[in-house]
Amino acid sequence: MQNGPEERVPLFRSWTAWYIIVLVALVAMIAILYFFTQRFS
Amino acid sequence: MTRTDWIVLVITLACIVLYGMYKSRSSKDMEGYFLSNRNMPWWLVLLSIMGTQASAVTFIAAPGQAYTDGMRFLQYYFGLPLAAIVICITFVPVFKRLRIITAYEYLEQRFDGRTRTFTALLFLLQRGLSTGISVVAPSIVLSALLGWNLTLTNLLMGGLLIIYTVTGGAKAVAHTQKLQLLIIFAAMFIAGWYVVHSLPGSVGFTDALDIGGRLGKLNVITTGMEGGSFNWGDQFNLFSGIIGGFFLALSYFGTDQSQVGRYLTARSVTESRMGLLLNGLVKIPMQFFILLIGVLVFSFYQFRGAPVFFNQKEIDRLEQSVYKDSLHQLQTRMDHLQFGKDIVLKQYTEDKSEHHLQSLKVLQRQSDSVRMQVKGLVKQNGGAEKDTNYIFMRFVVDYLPVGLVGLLIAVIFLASWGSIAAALNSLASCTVVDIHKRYIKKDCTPIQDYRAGKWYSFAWGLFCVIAAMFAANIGNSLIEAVNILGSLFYGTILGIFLVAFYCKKVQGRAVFAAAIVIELMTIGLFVLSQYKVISLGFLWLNMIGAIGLVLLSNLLQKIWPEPADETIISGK
Repeated sequence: MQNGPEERVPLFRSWTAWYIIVLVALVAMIAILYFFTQRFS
Repeated sequence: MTRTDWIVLVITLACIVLYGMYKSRSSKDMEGYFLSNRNMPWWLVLLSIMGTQASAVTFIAAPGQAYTDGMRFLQYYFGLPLAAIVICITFVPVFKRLRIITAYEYLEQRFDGRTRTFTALLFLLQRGLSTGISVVAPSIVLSALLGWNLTLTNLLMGGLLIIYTVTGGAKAVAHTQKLQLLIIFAAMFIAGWYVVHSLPGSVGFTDALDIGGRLGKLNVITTGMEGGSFNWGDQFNLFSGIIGGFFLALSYFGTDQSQVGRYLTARSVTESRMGLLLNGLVKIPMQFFILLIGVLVFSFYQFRGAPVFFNQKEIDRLEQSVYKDSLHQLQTRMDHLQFGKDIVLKQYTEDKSEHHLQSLKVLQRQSDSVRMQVKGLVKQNGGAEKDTNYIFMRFVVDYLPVGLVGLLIAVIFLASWGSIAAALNSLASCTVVDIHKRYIKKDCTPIQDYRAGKWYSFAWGLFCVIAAMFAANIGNSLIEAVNILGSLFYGTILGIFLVAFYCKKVQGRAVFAAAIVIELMTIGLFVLSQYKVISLGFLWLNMIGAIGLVLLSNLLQKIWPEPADETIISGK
């Protein structure tokens, strides 16, 4: 997960932040879809 | 189709072909032709990845899947963001650092030439056949619905895109995919809006969702648990989606040249990673929206009355057969059920009472039963009993206004072109780099490489159209079979790459032998599941193949280590 010398990570200091965002977004989407399923089933 | 629809269709397709040719200029060498000189920004990489993944079947079959089985198919994509992270951490930096053109080049550097060739051949076999089917699958649906000549539809579906794919290579593919996706999203959004707009006056969007949900179509999250135990044969549930979907996405995005070739066009590791990660983020909402259209179409048909079978061609065949009277009886039965539904739906939308809901559920079960009986007649008559792929397009042709029908048919062509163009580009790059330059003509000038790339793109395009012509005679059963073709090979291919990245001590001989054993085992498992000897959803084959190969190659390395002279020859 180390950045190359020429590589600048957009918005954050490291790619780890991006990976955490993707993971959190996935968990949030699954949670929202779970409540969506419950709401209409 | 009206004249206006034809005009919309022809103009849309012509615009894409002309735009692709306009964007065709690239430097006359392999890097320029296959990777657009590695200068693409992240957003173009993102759109190219999305355009490659979303084929015509995505837009034809997904709404039909939601109509018949509900939205649980969405869980198939839950492993994708996880796979994107692994690929960004492991695969992308290595591929970009080595400046390879195909993913399989790396395998020769890591193992040996035979492992590279074996993996490349698996890819060519799998991608070549599935691209042929990508041509014929939407052609069969459109020709059945619109009465078009199937050969001509195949030629349009698989032939026109060859013009810009051959002339422009990866650059033309990426730029046309950008425009194609823009048109596709706009048209699908309008179609979704129109479904809601076409509902009876007192019924709104949330009512349509409520009806679809109460009748079991908004089952987005399912656990796969049945009677207290996990059903391994269940294709789509939370666990198969996250675990099986993860391995499938890891194989597809990490080792399939049709996707690797997209993010290798990026100008840096950062741009490749951004394209992959953002695709992981947007794919699930995008697929949710497409499936939701299917549920809205289902709710729409609750009020309008659905056909007993959505493939009119098979109904017409039944009308000419000895099953004609049985068909008429079932159609009359369906009409009576719809009459009952009209009354119950009116009451339910007014007071949403449990009593009316239960009545609606009973009527829906009876309607499903009638549909099953009609499917039985179609099967007895020698036809294709599955009509999922026809549901959405039948709605489009029957109910959408003039102009929009032409646009939605154009969407099917564009979605098909986007994925086929990327596939042709990747098939050509793999053939030139992994086969032609290794076994046929090793010392080529850049201009010779470029010309070979063009010829192989053309040859693969021709192959796919011809394969589509043959596949058309076999019909829907082959289309279903080829949908799981990827799972037969992806596990092995992914396993080889996982060993390459994570098992540094394993060498070429062990991984090559393990790959052959695991490929045979995967095919064996699939055959056993087809004959109902075991119950195993196809998504699990990827995981079993990949993990099996990692374990077996490590074992073989320990008990059958590579002799020192072979190690020296293979460059270790």
